Amino acid sequence: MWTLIFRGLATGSIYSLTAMGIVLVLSTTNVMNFAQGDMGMFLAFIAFALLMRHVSYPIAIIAVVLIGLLLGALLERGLMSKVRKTTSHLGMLIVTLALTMILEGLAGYFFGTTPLLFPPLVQGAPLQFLGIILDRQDLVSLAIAGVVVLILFIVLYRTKIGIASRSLAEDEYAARLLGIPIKNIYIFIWAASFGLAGLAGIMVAPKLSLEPSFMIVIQLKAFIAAVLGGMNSVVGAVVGGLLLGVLENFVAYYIPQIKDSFSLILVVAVLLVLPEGIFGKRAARRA
Amino acid sequence: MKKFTPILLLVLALLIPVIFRQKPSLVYYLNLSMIYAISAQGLNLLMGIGGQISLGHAAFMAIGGYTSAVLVMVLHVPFIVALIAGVGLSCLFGLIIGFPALRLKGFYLAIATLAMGTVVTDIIKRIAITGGDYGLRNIPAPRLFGFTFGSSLSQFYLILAGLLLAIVVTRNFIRSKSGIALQAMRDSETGAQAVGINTSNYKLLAFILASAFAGLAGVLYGHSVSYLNTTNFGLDLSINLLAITIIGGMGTVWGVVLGSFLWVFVRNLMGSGLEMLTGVLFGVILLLVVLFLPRGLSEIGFRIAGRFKGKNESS
Amino acid sequence: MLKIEELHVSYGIIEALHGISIEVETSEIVSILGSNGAGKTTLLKTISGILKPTTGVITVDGVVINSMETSNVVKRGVVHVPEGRHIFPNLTVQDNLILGGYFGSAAQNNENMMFVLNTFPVLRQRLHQKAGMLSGGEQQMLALGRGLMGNPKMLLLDEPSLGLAPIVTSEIFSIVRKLAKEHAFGVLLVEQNARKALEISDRGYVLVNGTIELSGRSEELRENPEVQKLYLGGKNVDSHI
Repeated sequence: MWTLIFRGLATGSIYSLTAMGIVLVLSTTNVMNFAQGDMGMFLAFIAFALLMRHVSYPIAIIAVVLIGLLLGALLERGLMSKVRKTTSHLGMLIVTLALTMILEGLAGYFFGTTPLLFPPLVQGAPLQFLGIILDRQDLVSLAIAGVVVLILFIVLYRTKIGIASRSLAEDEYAARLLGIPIKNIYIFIWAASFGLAGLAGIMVAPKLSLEPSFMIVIQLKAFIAAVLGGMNSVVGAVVGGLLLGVLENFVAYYIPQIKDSFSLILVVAVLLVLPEGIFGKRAARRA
Repeated sequence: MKKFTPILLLVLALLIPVIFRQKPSLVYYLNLSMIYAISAQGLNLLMGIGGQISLGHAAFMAIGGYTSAVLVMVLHVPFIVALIAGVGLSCLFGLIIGFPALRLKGFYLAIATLAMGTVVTDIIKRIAITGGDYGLRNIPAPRLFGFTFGSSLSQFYLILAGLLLAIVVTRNFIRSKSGIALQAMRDSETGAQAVGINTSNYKLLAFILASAFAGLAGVLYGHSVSYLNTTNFGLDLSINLLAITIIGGMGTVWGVVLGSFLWVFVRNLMGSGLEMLTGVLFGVILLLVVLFLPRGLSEIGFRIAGRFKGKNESS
Repeated sequence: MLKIEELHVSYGIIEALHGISIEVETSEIVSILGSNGAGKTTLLKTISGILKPTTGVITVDGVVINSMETSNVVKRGVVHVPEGRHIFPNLTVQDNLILGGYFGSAAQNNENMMFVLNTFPVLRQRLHQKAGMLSGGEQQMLALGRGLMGNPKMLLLDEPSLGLAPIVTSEIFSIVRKLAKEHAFGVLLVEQNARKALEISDRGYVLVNGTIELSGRSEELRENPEVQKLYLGGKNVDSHI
């Protein structure tokens, strides 16, 4: 029972990281980013290349997060800021779809489409604690996710740029009138979300196998987590991701026949019953 | 002149396989292009005319393809019946999925169709009769009125007929009352509602028609390629169909055809090792089109044609 | 201090302001009267850099600001408190205030925060509550306080009395007047409630269809029969909304 919950949380933390990136970008810049998962995939390939060149694991992680931050900033500066002026929200969505085509194509071209084995962060037999079986990889990735979520929350709630990002999600006009440099905030947001993508990629890759399409399923789950969390709240994305991870694990254990379709059916149901998510816009309006 | 252009094109189209008789692989690619064009024509209706988005379009191809293939292979039903059943079931699913999904807006519709498409292919994979992960092999060639469309060459004409049907239906739909209503709605939903257009019914109609086209394309795909696997009808294809439609030009009948040909030929003629770069190339083209050519590549065609016309009139 | 000369502003092909000239001195409160659609909000948006004028010059202390981005206009000390308050409802009162001082140093912001909380003591009690939970009057105080966090030399106030009870309006207006006189900044006040606006302002301009029809000292405008008929609703009728 507790083992199931623990495993669910470990998987869910990865959904949460990806969902946070999606929600961060959507709530502030109004772009539904379908390339979040694939950016993680691309960065995981870079990490793989570094590890193969005997770069140590921690350095590879840091390098990939930094590259993610940089790519995010470049994307906003070079592309999104231009696209924003000429196209609609749906156009922006299509731009991110184009990005997925480009990223998957590049990864396939440089690294091939044969699945690669990504070395796990830590090795060794699972630990046992009060009868709970704890996989080492799960423990480490849960710990990293926890630390990152904590850092992100401190940034979002305690620093000027973080508070300004949240204000942008609420009232862009007011933020402009206060003189908040919106262009810089957008850069910060895209950078942060691609940094998160890199982390998620590295944490997923050892569990699945590394190939150009391996993050698609995570992307889908992250969407579901984001929808569960109401699409406009980073807290909601974290809770939604963990909830989805745990639910999925229970379903896989007790009703294995529907484990693949469960989350998809769940999201369709949530969308249809509450088209704005479980605690979506209504929460924002109430508060 | 304008009147004869379609006839001229048709004659040309009919002659193409005869000209390339020595190159069956080329004809095969032509067939594939036309199949994707039929499917994309459905997205064209949905997006270009209806202003809706779907990231699960490929799943409807799978529904049509598998239905027809299983009927022919297991129940030994005549091809024509299987074809109708495949398209029919696709329509039915279009109705079942479209009815609730079209209440959603923009982003949410994208996610919902993506999820539904994944569920559909997942379910197909789980039914024992479809061959699961191994896929369905040796699907018999189409057979109509005692004639077997065994070669790529003969299939060409069958698929061409399908494409022409799709084009004619799309054309008529664009010009019909429902099509005009949809375009009005795309431009301003509240405006359309204000003049009393029941927007949801027209959206649903467009969704069902789009599913029908995808189903037809799926049936033709299965029986001409003779192999079906659900992995070929995932998000990948759905995104590519979207790209084909947008790159070719949404809202135009011929743009979509142009987009499909471009996609199939670039992808297959890039040579081994480079085909992954097709995705990159198409991604970049898609970006450029969204940025600079909102009406797609066909707009360039229209501009050139317009210039020629201008010259003819002045001379 | 704020000087606007021959300002023309257009939305596409439709011109909204047809050559407007206005001046506001330090410690001076200047009100802009006019009906809906006269161009009052357009004027404020142009000063704060949200809209760009087609021609004309806006200067603050002699520096031309009409081609600047809003963030640079704010750095120059021109702060626009918009109509409808536009506070961030899901952010705490404190976070709202912090954003008002986005460019200031930590020390400066602490000082400004003390000043704002002393000016509006009610905000101190609510510092960690979500701003959306405040009453209308408190939200207006928050919007003003947030504006004050930016060390304004020039405060642009758009309809601060909108939706407020007359008593609350009077309270806020007297605070604005006191601040302007004691801390030496200029106020450009756009108000539907012409009676109240003319009570606290030193001078006023009457804006009709994008041009200045009338200007003068507030007492003079109050006595002007045309102004009385159009904006004050007769001499003895209170015109609060």
